[in-house]
Amino acid sequence: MSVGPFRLPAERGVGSAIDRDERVRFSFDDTTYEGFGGDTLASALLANGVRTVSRSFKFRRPRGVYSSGIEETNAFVQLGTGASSVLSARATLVELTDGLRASSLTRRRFDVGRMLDVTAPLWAAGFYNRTFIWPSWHTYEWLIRRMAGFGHAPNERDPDRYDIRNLHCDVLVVGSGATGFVAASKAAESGARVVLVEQANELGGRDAWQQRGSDPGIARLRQLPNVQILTRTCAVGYYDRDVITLLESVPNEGACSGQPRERYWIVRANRVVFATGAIEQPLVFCNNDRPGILLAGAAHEYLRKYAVACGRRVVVATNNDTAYAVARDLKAGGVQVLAVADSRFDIPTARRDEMRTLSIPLHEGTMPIDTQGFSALRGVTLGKLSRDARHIESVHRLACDALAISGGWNPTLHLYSQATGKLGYDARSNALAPQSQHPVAMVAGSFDHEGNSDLGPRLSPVGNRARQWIDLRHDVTVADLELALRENFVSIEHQKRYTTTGMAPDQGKTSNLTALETVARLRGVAPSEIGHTTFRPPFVPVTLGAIAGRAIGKRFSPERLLPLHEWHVRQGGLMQDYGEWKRPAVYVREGESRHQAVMREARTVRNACGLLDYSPLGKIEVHGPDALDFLNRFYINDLRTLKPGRARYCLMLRETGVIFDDGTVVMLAPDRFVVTTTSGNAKRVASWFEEWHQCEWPHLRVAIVPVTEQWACFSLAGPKSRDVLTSLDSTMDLSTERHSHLGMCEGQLIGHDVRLYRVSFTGELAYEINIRAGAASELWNALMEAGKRHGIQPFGLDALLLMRLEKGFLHVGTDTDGTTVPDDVGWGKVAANKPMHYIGKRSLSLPEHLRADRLQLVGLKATTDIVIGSHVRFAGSSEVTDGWVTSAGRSVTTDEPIALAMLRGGRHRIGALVRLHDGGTITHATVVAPPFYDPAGDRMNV
Amino acid sequence: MLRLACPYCGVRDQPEFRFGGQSHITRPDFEVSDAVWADYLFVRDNLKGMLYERWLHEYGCGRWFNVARDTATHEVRAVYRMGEAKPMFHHEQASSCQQTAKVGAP
Repeated sequence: MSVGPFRLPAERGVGSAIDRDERVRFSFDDTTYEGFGGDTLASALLANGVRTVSRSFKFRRPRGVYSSGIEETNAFVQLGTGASSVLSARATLVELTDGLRASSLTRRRFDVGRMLDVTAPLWAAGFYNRTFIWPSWHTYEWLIRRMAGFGHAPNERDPDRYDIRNLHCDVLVVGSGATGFVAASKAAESGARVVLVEQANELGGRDAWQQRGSDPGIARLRQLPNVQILTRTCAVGYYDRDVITLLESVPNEGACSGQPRERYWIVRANRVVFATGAIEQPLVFCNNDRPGILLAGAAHEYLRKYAVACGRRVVVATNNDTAYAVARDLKAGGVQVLAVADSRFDIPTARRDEMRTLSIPLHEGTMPIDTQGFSALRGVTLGKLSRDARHIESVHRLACDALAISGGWNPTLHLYSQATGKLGYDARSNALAPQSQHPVAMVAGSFDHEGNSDLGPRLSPVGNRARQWIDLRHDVTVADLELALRENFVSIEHQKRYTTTGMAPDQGKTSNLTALETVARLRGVAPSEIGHTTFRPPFVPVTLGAIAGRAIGKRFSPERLLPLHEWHVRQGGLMQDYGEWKRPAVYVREGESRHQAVMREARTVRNACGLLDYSPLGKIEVHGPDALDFLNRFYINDLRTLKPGRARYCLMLRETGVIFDDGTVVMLAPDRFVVTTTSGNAKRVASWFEEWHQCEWPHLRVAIVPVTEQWACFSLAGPKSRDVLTSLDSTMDLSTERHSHLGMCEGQLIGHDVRLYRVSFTGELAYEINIRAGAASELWNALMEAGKRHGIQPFGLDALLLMRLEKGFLHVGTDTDGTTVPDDVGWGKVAANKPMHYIGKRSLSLPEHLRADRLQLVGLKATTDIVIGSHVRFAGSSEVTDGWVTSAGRSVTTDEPIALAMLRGGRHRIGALVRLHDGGTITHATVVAPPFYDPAGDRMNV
Repeated sequence: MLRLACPYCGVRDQPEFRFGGQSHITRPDFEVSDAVWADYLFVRDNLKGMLYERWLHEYGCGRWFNVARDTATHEVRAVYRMGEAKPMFHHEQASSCQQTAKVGAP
């Protein structure tokens, strides 16, 4: 097997980057090829004569390698297969490794989608918006996505690792060409901490082919302790206050290397130097997208670094001096250069002489106006321009297999622009140039490749505009820009959005300049009057994995475990996510369904005794002489009547009057309180207290101490719970007289300090037992042991919530939403009667909150199961909905379907028969006043 | 990403902080009209220029403080503690920042 028909032999003195002794096998689609160590996938494909690498996005035109670097717009491939497959890799950046498997994103050879090209006039800019509107875009989206050729995302989990690193430095230098090298060296000499970033795998920038990586100056720089060098690293974003992100790709040293695939660096730099060089721009003419047409600088790089000839018979077309060296070196490498076409008339004498010496025909005032071929270039039509470059005076054809084009060089100013640096069109270099000073970021280097000024025209004056590509990646043509203008999208920003030119992977690298010149020409104004589109991060596509880093899977969000987690798991607890907490929903026994298990647990609590791990309940201590005054500003309940040793159920509002949280306020002493919050709001309520204390009432003498994690909390519930508790060694008098419903006592239980609250969310006699988290296990086991003879069982949240539903107790966040005020859930009188100005009170008298048709919490009874979320409609209602079911289940005592619902003016509808709509199913229910169980509260008040 | 100098801890990255909206907003008395109350609840300045706002050093000292930030450039002109007077900057004079003293809360 050869290393390719387009590979030049070593004696021609080319191929500085390749190791001819190292042969590398790879496959592209189903064919195996060989390349050399040091090749890129693109250079190896070109060496093997592979012309069509992909199909275009919209018209499915065959496309080949167009560039040699980051600006590649055609040669996107999928790498590998299976879980670690990479889609949309630029072949020009893929380092060739043995066994590499690449495939084109679309079918390269026979492709039905080619019809799209034949019928191209139907698919002009904006065709999506106009065409795919009936019945909706979603009808077509899947098909269009499939045809667009974005590659196939693997279904498996990505096995690769990605890292995020932070970096601080004095000077960040982006680009290691001559300018970047000098900048980094000078800064390093001054003692500054320097980071030098190079996108390629070796230092040296565009001169890297001369092996500057082994330059003694670079070797010295590498050894300095204050210099960090990152290769294969691209600066991708510049964010507010000078934060720069870098994407480093780590060479794959085998699956077991332990290395991440990519690193995402977040850099804070005091100064940033962009020595990012320039990107070569194309010429625009008819059929300028055929495989075999590539940028002249790329042809040069393939020749010098990889010993690859871009063709056997090459035509060079340029509007500036830089492409002459390409023609010269191709010729020296033994490649036939048929002609150099220069769109200028005033070509420097030195260039004319050079071409004459080399016997390369030079055509002045000439540019390509059309090409021939299909899946590979077969010929080019050159047109002789009139002096004013508006007409073609004569044409001639050349049969060739490669066309190297150069439209001059545009400085890579993307990140400088992201940094809010101002850019403008410079008429001398026909390119964008920095036009402002930035306090932190500076642009260095002339970008002025010798001869990159006084350029000739870039745009062909003739030919079918629908066949002249501006953005090859997105298939945007001159005709599209023209159509957008006709439809009055005049601003370049609107042009971009309507036609998608310069969007997505290209980010304007090879399309911005020609787009704005085209628009200028169509509008008859100077390019400098057009402005330019805003550059935004990222400069190149960034893998989502790199942005996520290690924060995936279990590390995405912290998992919080109960003190008794292991016990719950051992007992068959079904551990589910409740916010960050893993909590037992139910303990399912062998042979039981989940529903049966929930009913068994609930019945045990109703009839005997159950134990619930309630530890995530939010607990906040509020201490200080002004603690009562402070808390009284938050709750709708008047706390001035609360006595030491007593607890009260309270509601807290937002300033808008909407219910924020509920919980128990316990007065330990006149200047010492514990408040409980819902588990999900523990942090939020503590933070809310702090905000008001620090920002609004700093004069109040209070300390707010969140203690949720310090105290484990169990709910011992059921008629037998007092018997269980009193059978343990205790220092407390738990008789009803001393410790009644909503009472609190502190003391010792089995030798540990505990706080005991008589509060009940189940409706039964119940104790909330708070104990130091470290002693939780000991007490839990003692309670389970002591409860054995009463038939104690652990119960989970399902049973708890079912019992509270039966009792009609509010569950904030389940029965309430972001509009619910106290009166909606039956707390209107309490809220209104408190005389003080507590948070949210003023909002309760806003007209919106006084409407009679507000949603109000009521109960529902039915004969068939009620589904949460069902919509409720009153008989004869003309409304779409009159409310919805917020909680539902079956009564523990009667097994009857019951529910809570928020209904429009619901409290006046008690007794009404309503319809419940769940999807297409309609059932019936009766509106009742909750609770469904023990309305007088006798069972908990014992 | 902003970098803020917490008056208690020093310069830290934005992820350590929580934005708390406009600062120097006075909570009206209970007796004000519905319109004034609604203004206090929902209406904030949306200006190009100096905005006085409050930030919480959530993953740090847990303290609230004030920041004077230029909304156009993200330049932080001043960082000062809760309760301290709002610093005035010459060029903005009597524009937006004077009228902000009317209403406010979290």
